[in-house]
Amino acid sequence: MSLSSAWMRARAAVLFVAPLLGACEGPSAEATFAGAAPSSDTYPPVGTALEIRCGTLDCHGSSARNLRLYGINGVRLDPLGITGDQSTTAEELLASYASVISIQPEVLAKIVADGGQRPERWLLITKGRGTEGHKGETRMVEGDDTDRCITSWLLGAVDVPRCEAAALLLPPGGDEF
Amino acid sequence: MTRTLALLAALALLGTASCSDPVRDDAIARLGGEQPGVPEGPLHRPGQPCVLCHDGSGPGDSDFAFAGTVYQTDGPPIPLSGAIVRLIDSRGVKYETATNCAGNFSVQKTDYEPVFPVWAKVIYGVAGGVPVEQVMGSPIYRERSCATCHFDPKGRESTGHVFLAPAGVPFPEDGCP
Repeated sequence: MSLSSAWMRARAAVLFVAPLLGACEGPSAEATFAGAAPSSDTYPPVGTALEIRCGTLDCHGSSARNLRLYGINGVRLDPLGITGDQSTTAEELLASYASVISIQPEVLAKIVADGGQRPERWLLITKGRGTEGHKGETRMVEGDDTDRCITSWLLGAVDVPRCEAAALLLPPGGDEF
Repeated sequence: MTRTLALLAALALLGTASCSDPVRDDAIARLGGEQPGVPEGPLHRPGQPCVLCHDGSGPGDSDFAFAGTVYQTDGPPIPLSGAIVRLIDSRGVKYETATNCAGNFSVQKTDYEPVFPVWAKVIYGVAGGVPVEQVMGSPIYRERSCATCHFDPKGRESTGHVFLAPAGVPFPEDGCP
């Protein structure tokens, strides 16, 4: 075997094995995931919009959903509470916030670290926009009030007027239909 | 030839088995049998989630866009006949139907295919020259059976039966003969 062919074989072996070794590397046993999410202090206007758009009993206002939104339109946090009665409480908003930020926490942390850029990486956005399978179908369009409300929250500057507009959901022509 | 037929039969059986939904089957079984003296039809099973069976895949014959039962008050569940159920979808397309003597109403899919969300109200009689109505507090996003969310007793995930008036309001004698 010539020196050059031996070299070629050794090089090929290294090229083949190195990626496999890399693939076996994982986080160290001591490593922990530190999540990052927009502050709960900034959530209430977002939560109010999500509540009427997504949090009714037949959708995410149900204990049967992974994304669980508590409040007057859906499941109550208090076991003795009654849906449809009494306004949404601060505790319910906080519980809904905890549920929202637990959806793909690693992805959410990356988006927050990137200053809210490319929010379409997050399941809440893809499901809501209908770009991913969603039994509730498309519930917002990129740039509309609901979408802008959520994405501005991810950017760290909640667009409160857009959230308020999203929360004001009336039938066409108003209640006098 | 015999082996081919056996294979086809096995495939057909497999196909049938894979189409059954045990969760739905259990939910239907839990509804129990028919009430004695009430034949299958528009008057049967008031207060039950109609579209569980009437969703186009059986065992009920009809394919309902919406169906439910309306009661007089939020007190004891006495059916309200002759009430108008008015629906409007996100495009502004309306549909009206009336409750029968069991308080039941249904909307065939062939008559109304709404684009969600849908808003609903019940209208009955006149007071002070104005129609008396009860508007549903939140829109419907996907559930087509009223009773999936509106069942008794009221609680953290049920808003109670559908009604027109507060408990104690008197109504004319009603019910099926």
